[in-house]
Amino acid sequence: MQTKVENLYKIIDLDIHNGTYNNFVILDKDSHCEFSFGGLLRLPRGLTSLCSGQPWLVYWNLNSLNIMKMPIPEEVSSQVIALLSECICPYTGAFCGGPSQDPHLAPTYASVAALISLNSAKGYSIINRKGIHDFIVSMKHKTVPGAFTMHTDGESDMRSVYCAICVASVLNILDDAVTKDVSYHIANCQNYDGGFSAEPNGESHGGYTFCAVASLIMLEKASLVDCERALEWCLMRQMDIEGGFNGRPNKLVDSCYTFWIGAAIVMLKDVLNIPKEVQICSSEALQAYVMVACQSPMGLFDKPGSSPDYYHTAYSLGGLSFFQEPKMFKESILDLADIDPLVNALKKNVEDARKYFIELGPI
Amino acid sequence: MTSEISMAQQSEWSDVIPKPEYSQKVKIGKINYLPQFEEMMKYFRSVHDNKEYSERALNLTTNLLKACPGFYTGWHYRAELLDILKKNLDEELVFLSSLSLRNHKNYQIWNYRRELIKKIGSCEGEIDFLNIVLDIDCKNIHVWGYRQWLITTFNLWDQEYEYVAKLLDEDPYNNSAWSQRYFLESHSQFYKTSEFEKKNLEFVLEHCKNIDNECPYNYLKVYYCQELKERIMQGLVDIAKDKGFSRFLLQNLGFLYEKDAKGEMCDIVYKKLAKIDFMRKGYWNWKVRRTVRKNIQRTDNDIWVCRALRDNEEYYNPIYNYYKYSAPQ
Repeated sequence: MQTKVENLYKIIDLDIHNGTYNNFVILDKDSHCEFSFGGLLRLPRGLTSLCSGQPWLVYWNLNSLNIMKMPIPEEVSSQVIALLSECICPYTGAFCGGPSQDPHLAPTYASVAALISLNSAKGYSIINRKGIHDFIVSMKHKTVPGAFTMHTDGESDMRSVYCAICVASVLNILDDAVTKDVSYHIANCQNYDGGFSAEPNGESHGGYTFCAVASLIMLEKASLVDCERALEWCLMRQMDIEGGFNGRPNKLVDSCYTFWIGAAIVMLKDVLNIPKEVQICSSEALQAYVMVACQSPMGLFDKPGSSPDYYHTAYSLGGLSFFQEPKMFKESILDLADIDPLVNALKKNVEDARKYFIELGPI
Repeated sequence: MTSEISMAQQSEWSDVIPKPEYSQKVKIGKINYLPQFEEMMKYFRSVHDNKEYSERALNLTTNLLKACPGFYTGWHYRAELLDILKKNLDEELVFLSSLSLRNHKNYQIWNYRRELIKKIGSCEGEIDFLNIVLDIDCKNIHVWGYRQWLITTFNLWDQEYEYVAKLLDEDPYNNSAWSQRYFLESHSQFYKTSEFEKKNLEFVLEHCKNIDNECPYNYLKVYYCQELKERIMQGLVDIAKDKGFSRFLLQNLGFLYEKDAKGEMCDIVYKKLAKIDFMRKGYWNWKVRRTVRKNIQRTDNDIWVCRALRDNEEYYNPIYNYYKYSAPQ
């Protein structure tokens, strides 16, 4: 993979270690918008395996469009709300992977994030805060204090912690019943190398590290862990030749970590009071990897040789939005919207959503 | 798909009204399913909504899960069905294993396996099965999670040492194997005892001779303590004399100097990192600015490091971020 990416750079005479590049490389937002918009309208057969995570598809595509500043038509917005309404579990009020499925923390997060991406009172009105609160509390792990299962008898890992805490935080339902023991459980998942794993004793991983760091910050408990070592582990993920991040030591580069690792770096930098103007990883190299090595004619993919998909499109764009300056490609105007690294939705929308749910008061 | 005949034409299903996924109101965002799959899902929704616990419902989950192994609702329903219909769980394990080999990167099947093995109460054949799956991909994080659960639940610690040693021997760059090694070490009755630590530290230092391998350099920090810090420093200096510096080696030197509050040495090490480690130069420069430079009593090793980093010509290899040391005159 390293040679593959290196050759791509060589062909266009790009040295990612050396300042800016004057030839023409652009982020083809028009085409990527078309790709993401198409994914909101209809989904190909190849996505059958995601029938148990349909709110994710909606959320990824809305988020991609938002990041690229493409307005979402009113008609599409109300259709999305209609679709998500039918994914609500009639017994608990939490969201399911699709209609008549079991309620699950991951689609609950994805649905809430999708509704934040729409940022309309009509969308927020379908959220059953009391129901979601009680569902989250009922997902608390029976034998591991502070952990959550994804669904009844489902798996438990750092994703479920993040989904529970993020949803509860934005919806203003983050009370003691939800937060009890959670921060200690997360701290137990920090490893000797500084990264975080799915469960205690596991291998550090970029995705789980994002989940752990974001959750701790929302719980206001980042001081429980060694943030500097976590940051250093994240920074080590940027690869010397490819310029993108990998998710674990000695693994291959993957564009989705532009968000997972990138957002963790942004958050940890803030926690550690490193001044904003200090560039602690190479934005230029990240731009090079995403724009030169991961763009297809429509949509983005994980690494050269793969096909584009909605997930990698959303997460590589989301990551890129943090690292738009300084520019690798002088001519290129990225102009991506600001993303809230904790929630992974438009910053402005997250602020509005938080205000909206604070005004609703306690449940 | 087991049957070519549409379910609507099968008498077995004539009493069930298939339920479409969405109401007429939803017009966008639908997946273009294969017609047979869509039909199975319609019947599934119906029997699942009605909480029907029957043989035909079980067969339906078999077909659906073969087509879509991430369908968590199907797995949960199936577990309930097996309980209520009192099914043979060993047969279920065979079914699950056959699906697992084709879909090993999947949260649901490994969680289902935990639940199933709990009920069966025996782990016979499990490690052999996992070795086969890890042969397909030895860094599969789902399999490792399940393996740790299995080892903890059934007390399988002893045999695991050999397996991890074999994996590290085959590929010392396999971080999953290093992580598993720490899992074993930290659960050993000898953890944090002097002799055990010393022996293990030597193993890790030996691996640090691959100066471009991040894994043993991350692992080295496990052993940092008053008793062993001198040995770690000496080990790093010996490797640097032989192989040169890499960014991983320098990062560890910086770590040791920071712990000892040797600000002057930190300054030298981080300045060098800022020079050779392109991706992170801003971070190392921030560390330089944060360092309090105070004069210290230098050891012989410190003096050697100073000279090696300050005085010698550099050979920079961007692949490994090498800084090749040539012996001072």
